[in-house]
Amino acid sequence: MKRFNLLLSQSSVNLFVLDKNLIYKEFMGSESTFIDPDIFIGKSMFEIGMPDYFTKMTHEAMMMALKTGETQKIDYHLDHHVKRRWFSAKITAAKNNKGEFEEFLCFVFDITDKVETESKIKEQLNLIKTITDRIPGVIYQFELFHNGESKIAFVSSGIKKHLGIDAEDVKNDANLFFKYIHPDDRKMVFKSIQKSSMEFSLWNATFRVKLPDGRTLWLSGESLPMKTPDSTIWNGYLNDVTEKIQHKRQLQETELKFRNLLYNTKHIAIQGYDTNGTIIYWNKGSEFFYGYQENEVIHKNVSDILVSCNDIERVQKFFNRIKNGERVNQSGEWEHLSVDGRVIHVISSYFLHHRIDKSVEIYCIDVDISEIKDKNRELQHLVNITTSQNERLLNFAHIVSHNIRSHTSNLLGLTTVYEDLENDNEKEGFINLIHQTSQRLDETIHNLNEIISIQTQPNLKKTTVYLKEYVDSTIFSLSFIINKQQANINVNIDKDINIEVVPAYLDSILLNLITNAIRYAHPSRNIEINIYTEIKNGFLILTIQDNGLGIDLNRHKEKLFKMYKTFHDNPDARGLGLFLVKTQIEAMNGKIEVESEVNKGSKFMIHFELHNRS
Amino acid sequence: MKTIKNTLIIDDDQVLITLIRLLVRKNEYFENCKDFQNGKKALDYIQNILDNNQELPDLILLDLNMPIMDGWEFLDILSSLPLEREIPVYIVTSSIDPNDLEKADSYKMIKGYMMKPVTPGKLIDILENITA
Repeated sequence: MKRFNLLLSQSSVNLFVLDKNLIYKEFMGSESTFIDPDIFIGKSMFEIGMPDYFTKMTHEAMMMALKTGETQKIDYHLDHHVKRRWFSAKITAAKNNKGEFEEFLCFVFDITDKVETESKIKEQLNLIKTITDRIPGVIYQFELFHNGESKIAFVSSGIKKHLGIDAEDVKNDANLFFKYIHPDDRKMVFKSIQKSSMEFSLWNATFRVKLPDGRTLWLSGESLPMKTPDSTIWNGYLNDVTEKIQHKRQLQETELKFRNLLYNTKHIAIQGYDTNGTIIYWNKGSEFFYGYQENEVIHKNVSDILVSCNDIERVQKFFNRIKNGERVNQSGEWEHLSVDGRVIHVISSYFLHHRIDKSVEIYCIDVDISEIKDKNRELQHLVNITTSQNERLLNFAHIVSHNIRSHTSNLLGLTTVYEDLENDNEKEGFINLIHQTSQRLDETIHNLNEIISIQTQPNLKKTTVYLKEYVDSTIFSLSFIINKQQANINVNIDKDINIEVVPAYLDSILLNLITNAIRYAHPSRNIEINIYTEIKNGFLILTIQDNGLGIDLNRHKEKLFKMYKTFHDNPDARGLGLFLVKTQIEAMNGKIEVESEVNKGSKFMIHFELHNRS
Repeated sequence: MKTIKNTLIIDDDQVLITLIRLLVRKNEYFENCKDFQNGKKALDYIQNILDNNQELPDLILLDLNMPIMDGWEFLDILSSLPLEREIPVYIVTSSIDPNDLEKADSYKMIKGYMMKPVTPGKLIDILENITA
């Protein structure tokens, strides 16, 4: 008993003993207890002035202990002065040797320190909960034991908000959360946890979770591992990054879409350059236009790849301007060369891309205008023809009026003066003049009619003829004069060459040109005429070359093919031949060119349009 | 009225030359008259006058459209010659081409235009203009 007393005095346990009548019989307690046994020993528990609730609770526990024979536990607090103290009491109904109830033993433990600590922890936990509940995302503590078991010791209420799982449920069963991870990502997540645990490195992962309602969310988390003797603990967070990822994906998709669009556009060539003209981008269109593959040109300079020699200087200027921050036009026309040396005319639009690091990239968007250029050239050709036809028409009108008027006015003049003539001799001479003039007027009208018939019937039916046959037959028809002049004519034309012409025009052209070549012969040489063909620039060119008088082209080039222009002192010249030739060849979509040198000879080159020849 | 001593007719139209010659012959104020088929022949003649220090013509009646050397070319060369006095030139033409009329205005030498047909009255107009 003595030892028992000593034990109690050294612990924080007090023992109260009450008899059957609930009168305090005995007290044993620690030395530190400030209880004075004299106050209650010998007194009933109802009369010592303890709070009612305490008295009631203790009494009930005693009765229960008595009834069941089991020890009862009650917790309570007592206010001692201002300080509240917490106690835990164990009440037993003790029996004597005979097994009869004898007394109540009340062991009272002072648990104030424990309660206070607990409440402080609770307060802190509440604070943490309040904070973590307000942080977006999910804050958690995850513990992985070496035996493979795991536990989510803490998780913020965000888990309810994001995944619809109760925080408490997850704390009880971590699998509740792991089950949500998308099957395709589960392995990756587990591996990453393992890796973090083994290498003791920061864990982070972005993965999908599949919610029961079918939605898929993206979560991204990070946490730092801590080691305990038998586990690893991670404190970290998970964030819902679904929107961010969707945004990023959309952005990537959009970017990819535009990238593909730009790259695959076949009929628009797009190239990127740095300010030195080094190629940094090359789309399919560029490949299609210029024949170079992307990998053949990247990092090469545009001057070595695309630019034709006509543009080299311009290109260098262009890049220098950009380098110096000067303004450049928004577009320009360039002559580019393809890999096989073809000239490609493009209109290039530029835009400058200013990068974050302040460097500048230039993007050129080329549209092939070669076809347009060709069309333009064709159009210009037509315009030229039309202009020349107009000119000729006007010229013709003036010539007509001039020629007819010169004769009619002569007639007028002659008849006016006739009255005043004195002798018959003079009168007879005048009648002669009047007759001559009338004849020439008639001739002029005849000539003009001939010309009009060509100009008003440009669509005379063309047929395919063998050129050599026509040349030969013209020469044959001139054989009298050729023999007389002892002209030497060399014809070098392949007999198979055929052309599409108006046969009558071809006759007239050949007759006029060959006759001219003989008529305007040089007096001191034998006539030498060469007639030959060649094919050039889409034309079959028939050349008639003589060694005659030649024409001073410096003086007469403009007038050479005009009507009623004559250039030599030849009384028979009508000034119609070359005019007719030009009119006729142009009516057949051809053209005529001339080279000549005085006293050396002339060379007329008749260009026949080549049709559908392969 | 003063007379015109030397008149040159440059025209390839033989009928016109005959006509003018007749009119001039009947007009007491025109003394001598020479005709040429084209500008080249007339120029040769004038060059000859210059070379031999003879008297220059007082009037040139000039056609525009002629072979070998036309009226314009003749005028271009004539105006480059070192003449001691200006020779009045009259264009004799049946052309109604406005370009020709316009071009004629640019030559100082050209004093006027005589539209065909040539009549005695038109000749007298010229005479009055020159001798005035």
